[in-house]
Amino acid sequence: MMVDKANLYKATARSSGDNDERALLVVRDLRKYFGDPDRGSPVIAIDSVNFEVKRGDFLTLLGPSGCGKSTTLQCIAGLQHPSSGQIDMDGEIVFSDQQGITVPANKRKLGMVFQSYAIWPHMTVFDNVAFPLVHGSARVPSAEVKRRVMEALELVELDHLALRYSPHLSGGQQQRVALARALVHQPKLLLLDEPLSNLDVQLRDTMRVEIRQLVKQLGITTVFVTHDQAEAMSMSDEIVLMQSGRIMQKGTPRQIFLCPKSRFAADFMGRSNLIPAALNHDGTIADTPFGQLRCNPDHKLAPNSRALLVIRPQAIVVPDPEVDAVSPNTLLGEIRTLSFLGETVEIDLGINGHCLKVMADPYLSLSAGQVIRVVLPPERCLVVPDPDASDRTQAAVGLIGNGATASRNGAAVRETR
Amino acid sequence: MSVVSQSRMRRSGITPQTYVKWILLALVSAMVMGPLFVLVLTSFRPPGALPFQDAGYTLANYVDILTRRGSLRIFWNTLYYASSSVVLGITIAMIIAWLTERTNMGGRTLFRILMFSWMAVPPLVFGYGWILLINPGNGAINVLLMNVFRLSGAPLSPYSPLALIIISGLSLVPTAYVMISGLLRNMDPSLEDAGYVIGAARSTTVRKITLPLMRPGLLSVSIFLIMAMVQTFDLPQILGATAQFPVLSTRIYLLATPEVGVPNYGLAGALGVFLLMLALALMWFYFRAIQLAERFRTVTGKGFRPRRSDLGRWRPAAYLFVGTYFTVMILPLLILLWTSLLPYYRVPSFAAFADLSLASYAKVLTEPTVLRAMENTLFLVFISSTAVMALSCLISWFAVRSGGRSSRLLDLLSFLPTAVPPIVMAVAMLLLFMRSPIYGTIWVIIIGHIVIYLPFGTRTMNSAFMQIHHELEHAAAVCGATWMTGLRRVLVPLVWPHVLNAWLWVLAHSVRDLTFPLILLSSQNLVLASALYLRWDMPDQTGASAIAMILVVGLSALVVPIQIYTTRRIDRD
Repeated sequence: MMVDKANLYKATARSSGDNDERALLVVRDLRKYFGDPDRGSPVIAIDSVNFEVKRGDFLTLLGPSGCGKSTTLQCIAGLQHPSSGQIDMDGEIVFSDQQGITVPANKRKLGMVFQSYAIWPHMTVFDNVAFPLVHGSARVPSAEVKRRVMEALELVELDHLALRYSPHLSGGQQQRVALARALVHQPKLLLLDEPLSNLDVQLRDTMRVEIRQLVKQLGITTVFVTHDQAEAMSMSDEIVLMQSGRIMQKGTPRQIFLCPKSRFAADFMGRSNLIPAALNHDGTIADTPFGQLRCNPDHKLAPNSRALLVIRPQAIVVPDPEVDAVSPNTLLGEIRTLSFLGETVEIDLGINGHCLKVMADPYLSLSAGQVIRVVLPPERCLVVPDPDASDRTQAAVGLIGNGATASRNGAAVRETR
Repeated sequence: MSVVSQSRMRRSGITPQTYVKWILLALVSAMVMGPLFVLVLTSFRPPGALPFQDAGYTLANYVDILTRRGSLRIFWNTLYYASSSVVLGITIAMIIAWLTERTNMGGRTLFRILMFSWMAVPPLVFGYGWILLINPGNGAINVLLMNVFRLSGAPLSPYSPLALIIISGLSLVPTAYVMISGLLRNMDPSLEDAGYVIGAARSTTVRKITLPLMRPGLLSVSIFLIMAMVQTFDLPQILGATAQFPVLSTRIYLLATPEVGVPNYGLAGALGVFLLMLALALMWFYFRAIQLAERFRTVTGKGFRPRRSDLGRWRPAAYLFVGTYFTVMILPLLILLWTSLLPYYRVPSFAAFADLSLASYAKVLTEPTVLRAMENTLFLVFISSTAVMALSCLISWFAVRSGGRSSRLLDLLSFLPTAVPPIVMAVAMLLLFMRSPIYGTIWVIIIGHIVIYLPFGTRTMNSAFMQIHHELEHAAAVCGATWMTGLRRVLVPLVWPHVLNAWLWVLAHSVRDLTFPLILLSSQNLVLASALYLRWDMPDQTGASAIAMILVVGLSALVVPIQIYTTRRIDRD
């Protein structure tokens, strides 16, 4: 596999001082407007974006299209200029509107893989990969160029195609060339702009693993942009979830998936049951269409406020009917539809005329029409602000518009995706 | 270390691009607006005064033009000449384009390459060929017709408005063909299929669907060509002068460089302002027509092959038509070749074969003035075409990639010379540089050619750059390449066939042009076009024919291979 050679490459590629715990990339209060602010209202592409990437970490900017993730990456690369804010790379300011610093893209010493790969069709694979060493800021003697280009190509297992022109390469091969070109000059920071979106499904799964292993072995700090939550979760050390130019949540894949802090985060990261709820005075009990449920309180929510109770279908437990233990948050419901997917059983459970999505163990013998008991463990019942009930987050309503209207009209439970 | 940190502490906004942009803006506005400013200034000077002489201002020149009786005739002649020759040229071009693009006629690739390579034949050469063929004294065709039909007088003459229109119309067929074949290629055949499906006959479909669909496109091509013909100088000069058929451009030439007496720059300037206004009006119509054509656009962006219809029993007629056209085009070249091989002009006959020799070539090629003219021509055309393409690549990059008000201004300024007739620009250059040291050198012609061919270069590069994904360029920047390196190593090589094509076009037109070399003529800056013109007037028909052949063969040697190469490359992409 292509990572086998990474150790060899790493020995020559890495410089000293790797164990530094300082963040390699710091993005401070970044904003980007399009259009003239003097004339009419400008379009806000990114708004107060803050995050840090630790040396050697793999960070993913995740969000739907138009959320500002690509603009953020382009600002880091220096291909777009932010309207305000500051970007530090390896302790050096590369952009600051206050100090009037803009280091151009060609001086930032980055590696970048583009969505279209951007392999130059008029050059051979070798010339493409050699470009940073021959025409870039890190020029090296020609003997050195040959050695390093071949090393980089070996790393992505394309050394046998060095003299081929890129139009004669497959999509996956082009992507490997792009990766080799991004790594050949040993950048401190690697930027990946949706590199997997043009590959077919199977290749995408293999490349996902290979890219992660490669950059981890080389120890290169990586910023990755994607709209695919599965890609983000399987590859990242940390995820920055974005929507409408703002950061909605930051954290490890586990944190983001298990503890969504907003309706958007719950919605975007896989399926969720979103249940309208009224909280009690200390936020531990929610009044829902399914009855009163104990929940995992969030101190940021005001007492007695309206909220959404979020529980993932996988979080719901179907207890053994033989066992007669009494757990909190136990509900009785009738199986309306049941689809056997092999790895899991997907159930639409009817409770009080509302629907609850449940993923159950495929080895349980269940059938449609059956009445079963389900448990919603209180620590898995999260509460997030209800965008419909609060004016502060009006902006979010538009995006989830249809569902929001539906729940207001009494179809109280919305199962998403 | 300090050098590094200094280069990093660059204030936002001021990048190398910004400097280049402002230099380009200054350069292009000086080159385009400077001469025009002087022209307008001169038109308000009293008769006989020079532009920078402090002689006060007057409307005398304009009053003179507007009250003179011949003025109206000149305007009418200009429009009549331009529109009639365009109607003729477009009609022939339409038929041939239809045959090569939409029918199964054989040899269409050859016809296409011939049409695209015709730019190697200057209209001047074409006109002289026709004079040799049909002049009333001993024109070859006239003599033949007189012998066959036992006529007492010559039936044909090149020195009539009709002959001028027909010859000009024929010479613009290749240009019209290039534009119309593009229109036909890009038409979606399913729109015509819809006609067949409902049972319409082929002729009905052509009349009711194909032609109406092409009408906006044809309209914009027609206006563009009328705009070009209103500005032409060479054919009206060599044929129309004898025919007593003055048009605006030849009248301006006569006023600015009279054979006897002093030049009347004020009147030439005022007439130039009128011609400029006429061209600007046509340009306005052209843009309206383009907007209309955009609405009718049938290009879907999908690669489709237009359906070719079977010629059937019309095949012989098609070959006859195309064959006649190419014969008519090639005859003037053949008679020039014939003449160049004789010691003096003789009507083609077997008896004359014995006298054929290369003596004329030996004579002209040993004359220092001709050698100097060849040297000047090479210098002129390579410098002006290379400069035009270098400027166009930079200007188009700003126009396509960078955006902003100054980039749009740059784009507009570089397009403006389209509406400035070469004769007007040449007189304006004459007035601007009259007192400067570069006057009389080859450099004034170079500057003139750069200005008038810049629009073609920037239009070509604009559309070429628009096809290139911006990530290809971003990748170079992230790899550490400077803006210039990215442009030189990535962007320009990617559109290389287009650059080469446009470079060749500019080069060929720079060789062909007579306007600038003649208006700005001096003993130092003679080029082949002006040498040919002077030689013909001497008169030395055999020497002129030899120069004409050298010009055509030399240019073809460059044009034909590059045309074949780029046609293949662009078709492949």
